[in-house]
Amino acid sequence: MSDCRIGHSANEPATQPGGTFELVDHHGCNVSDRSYRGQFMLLFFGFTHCRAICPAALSRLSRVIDRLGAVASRLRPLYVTVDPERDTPEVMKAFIERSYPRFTGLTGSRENIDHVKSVYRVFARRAADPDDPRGYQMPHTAFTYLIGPDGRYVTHFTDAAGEDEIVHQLVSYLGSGCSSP
Amino acid sequence: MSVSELGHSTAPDVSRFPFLDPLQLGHLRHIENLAAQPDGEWSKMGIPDPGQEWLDSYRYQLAQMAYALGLAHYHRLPAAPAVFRETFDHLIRKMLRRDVWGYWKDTSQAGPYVNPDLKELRKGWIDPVVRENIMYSGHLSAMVGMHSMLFDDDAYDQPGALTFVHNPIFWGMKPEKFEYSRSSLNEVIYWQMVENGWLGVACEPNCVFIVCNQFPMLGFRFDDLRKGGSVAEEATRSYRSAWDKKGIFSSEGWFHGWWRVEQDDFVPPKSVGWTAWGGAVMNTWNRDFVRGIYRDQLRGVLKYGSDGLISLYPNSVVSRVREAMASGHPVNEIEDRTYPWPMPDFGYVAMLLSEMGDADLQGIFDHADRFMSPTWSDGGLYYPRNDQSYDADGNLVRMDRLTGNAMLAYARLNVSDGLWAMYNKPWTSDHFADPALQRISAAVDVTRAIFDRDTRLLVLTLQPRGDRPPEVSVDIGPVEPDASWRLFRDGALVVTARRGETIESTGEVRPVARNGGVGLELCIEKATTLVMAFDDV
Repeated sequence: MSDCRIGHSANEPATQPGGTFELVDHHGCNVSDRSYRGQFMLLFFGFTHCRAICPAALSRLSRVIDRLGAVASRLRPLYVTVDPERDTPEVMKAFIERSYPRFTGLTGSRENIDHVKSVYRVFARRAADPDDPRGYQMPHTAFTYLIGPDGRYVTHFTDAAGEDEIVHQLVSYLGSGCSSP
Repeated sequence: MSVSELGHSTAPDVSRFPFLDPLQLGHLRHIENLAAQPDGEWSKMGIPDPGQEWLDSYRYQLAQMAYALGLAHYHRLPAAPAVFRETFDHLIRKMLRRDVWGYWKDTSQAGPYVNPDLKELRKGWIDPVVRENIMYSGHLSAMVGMHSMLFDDDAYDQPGALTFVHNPIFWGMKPEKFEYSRSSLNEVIYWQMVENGWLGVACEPNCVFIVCNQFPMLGFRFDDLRKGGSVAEEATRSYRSAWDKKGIFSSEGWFHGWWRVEQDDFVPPKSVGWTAWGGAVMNTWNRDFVRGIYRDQLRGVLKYGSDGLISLYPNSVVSRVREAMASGHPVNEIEDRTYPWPMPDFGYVAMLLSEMGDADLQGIFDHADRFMSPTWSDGGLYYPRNDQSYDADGNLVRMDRLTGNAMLAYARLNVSDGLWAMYNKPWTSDHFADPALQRISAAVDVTRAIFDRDTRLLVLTLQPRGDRPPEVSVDIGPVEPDASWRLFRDGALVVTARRGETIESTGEVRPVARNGGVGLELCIEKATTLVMAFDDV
């Protein structure tokens, strides 16, 4: 039996999000967290039917990436669906290429999506759509996660973070190449 | 040297600075007495439930006593950290004992009460803060956060400062330890809030209570103050938004009892209690909202008796009382003496009224003092447990340990918007640069301790505890080594120090050089006021 389990010290914040995943990108290729080692992953979770949060966030993040200049090459923007039943690779591809070409869309089985949601502590819950009785909404966490080249959590941005703030922080992280600014 | 030889200094008028009243002092003493009990000794804290699962459990008593200390220090005796620090530390240490959190091993298994769709019990776990159980972790977060703000101290943010040890004697295996700090504890809570869409973290599995998620907001706030973050702002904004969408009110106009996560529905509140408790804390970050609704939430709850006394209607008749009030019918005859009073509602409501600065609070105190057996023990004041609901005349006499040890103390020591002030106007480095009572020998009560920055006066009133020797030793700090000051004892000048050197003293008070301050030794036989006047020699 271990002498010390689960709990963490102030310098070892192992409670932070992140971990492994096995998904499918919008080209239909199998990918995992290891596929992006050596780059910073910028992850945003959402669903293509989202009418408010996702369009605003993806647009904002696209502008941020444009402003990064050359260091953007170190960044891999990923858009992970929480609605794999509707967001097939084909749907993701059309959605991404139409409006957010900076991003790679990721989907997968319900089981694998639930897993990646879990390790990133993402909330998403199916709810009725008052504007579409036959459809549904998926209220979800609106965080943007920055994961380092080693696959470890670096930081996250809330939906209240301003564009300038995100640019500033990303330049700090990406410019230094370190997981701390 | 006689006093008159010391000069012509007139004693400053300090009559404007209030004293603790005897009841407030008694509550503080009782908390100190309970906190000073040897580990494992829970005298006067025992409750009917053997599993520490109910609302008067040790964790709630310890937490609310800590908050009461915090309010008293912040509002009543701001220049007396020495009065509170050790007791606060005792409360946190007791909070970390397995007696307090060990229930979680069973509770974490869930059950059909908390999740009716459960097919089999979950595999339980020991670590009491890693997941769910915000009814414990939220209070621990608030306690260590408040401690850091009050005492300018990050001791509980050191690695392993919050360690839970599980080591049953007869297992014969190594102890299991679960180590946290203030930061990592808050991090665990934060990510669970994220994962639940900011509706909060569960207490018992699957059960998210609004009240219990107010306390980690305090923890976030106090942690931000130490580290310069904005987690509290994010958390409260997101929490408010989530509940705006979800709807926070029950049919009674109270807060929902709890949200069942898997079923995504609400369990009705069992009384006004959790609404009152939650509102008292929510006031810190959502004041206009709470102030706008609390009187209506208490409609039909407060029972106005003779002589200005106020108690509560049992929850079983609140709807009838409300109907009678609405139709103009009398309400005094409405009662249910069979109501078992399963919740500490009397204390919850007192806490809310205190935070609101509501005049009805005095009626609550008056009822408690007449019918709930206020008791003095070793200088401490408390209301002893009484499992009986009503006396023969129909007066509410029920008293639980949370209310009797902590909540009425909290209410008496609080001021209007008292917790709000701690949250929104916390002490900063300016406060800690002011001279204060940093140490005091045992057997002395402090009834006044304030540093007035405008006049640069430190005002302390000390009084001996009944049967203890009157020799008193105190440390005042921070005081610059070259500071000039005069010390008045009960209006008479007794010591003058210029640029750190004592130049005149009557001998009644013996100044002693201390690292970072000044020590004073004196003999007191009655309440004695010491006034240190700085920079005026």
